[in-house]
Amino acid sequence: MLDTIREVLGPSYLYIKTLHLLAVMAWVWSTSVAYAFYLVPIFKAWRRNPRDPEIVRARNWVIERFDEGATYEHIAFPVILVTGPLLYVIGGWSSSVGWLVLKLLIVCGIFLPIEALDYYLSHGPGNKGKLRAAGNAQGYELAIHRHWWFLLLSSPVVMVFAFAIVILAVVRPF
Amino acid sequence: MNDRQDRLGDRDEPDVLAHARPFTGTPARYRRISIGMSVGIHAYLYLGMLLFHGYLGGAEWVYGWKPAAVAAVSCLLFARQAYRWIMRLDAQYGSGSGWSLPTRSVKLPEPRRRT
Repeated sequence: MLDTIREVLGPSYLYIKTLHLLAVMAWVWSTSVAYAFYLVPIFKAWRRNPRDPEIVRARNWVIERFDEGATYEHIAFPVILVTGPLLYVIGGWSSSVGWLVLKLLIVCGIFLPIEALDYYLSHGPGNKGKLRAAGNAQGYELAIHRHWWFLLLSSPVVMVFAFAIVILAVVRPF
Repeated sequence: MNDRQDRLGDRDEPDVLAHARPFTGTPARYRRISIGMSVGIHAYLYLGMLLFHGYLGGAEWVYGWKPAAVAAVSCLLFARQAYRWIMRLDAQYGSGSGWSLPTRSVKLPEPRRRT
């Protein structure tokens, strides 16, 4: 099976690598502007003025748009999960390569659970647009609180370890 | 639900203020979480490297004191920075004076749900 994959896809290694890198770029950066210049300022304003109806309305609008905007990131991530293992198999990599082991540990143990939770919050039962359409105001407010918890805790992890995996892949320090 | 038609468009705004609850994040909680998260992540990465790179990959260097020292220092730095990061994000640091909050009447674009 693995030999067949190597034989068939071996000549396409660089094309698969290109696709992998494009997906990584989309995954890392696609929500960054919306996050930094729209979502965070409005959520900070909400945390300072939790009962201001205009800020609450802006908060609701921006988190619903952010749920939709995360779609690019959430298309890119499965592409990474498919092309990454393909590169591992085709390239003949092994656990003797230190930088790659650390990178895979970060992706599988840190980013995979974060993204699974993000899918749930953005597109699954935590999707704010669906909760609004269902008329569930209590669930809507709860979902926003949960999403803010998620963003608070995942932001430092994503920023630091996304940067780390790019450094590991490019510099290959060990 | 106590919905009302948004005067700026055809969006039904949920009456979340009626269900408003205090956000449960506190500085003490953020500190505990930052420390726990940092310890958990670094322990996982360090032990993972020992298992996969050291034991299965045959690398000797991961058993030395340097990787353990790097992991420990990184753990301390990450816990501190994560805490500060969360506090900044959650508007616990700063006064917000860098932003003003002007009231404006605008129309916001909403995607039409396809049926």
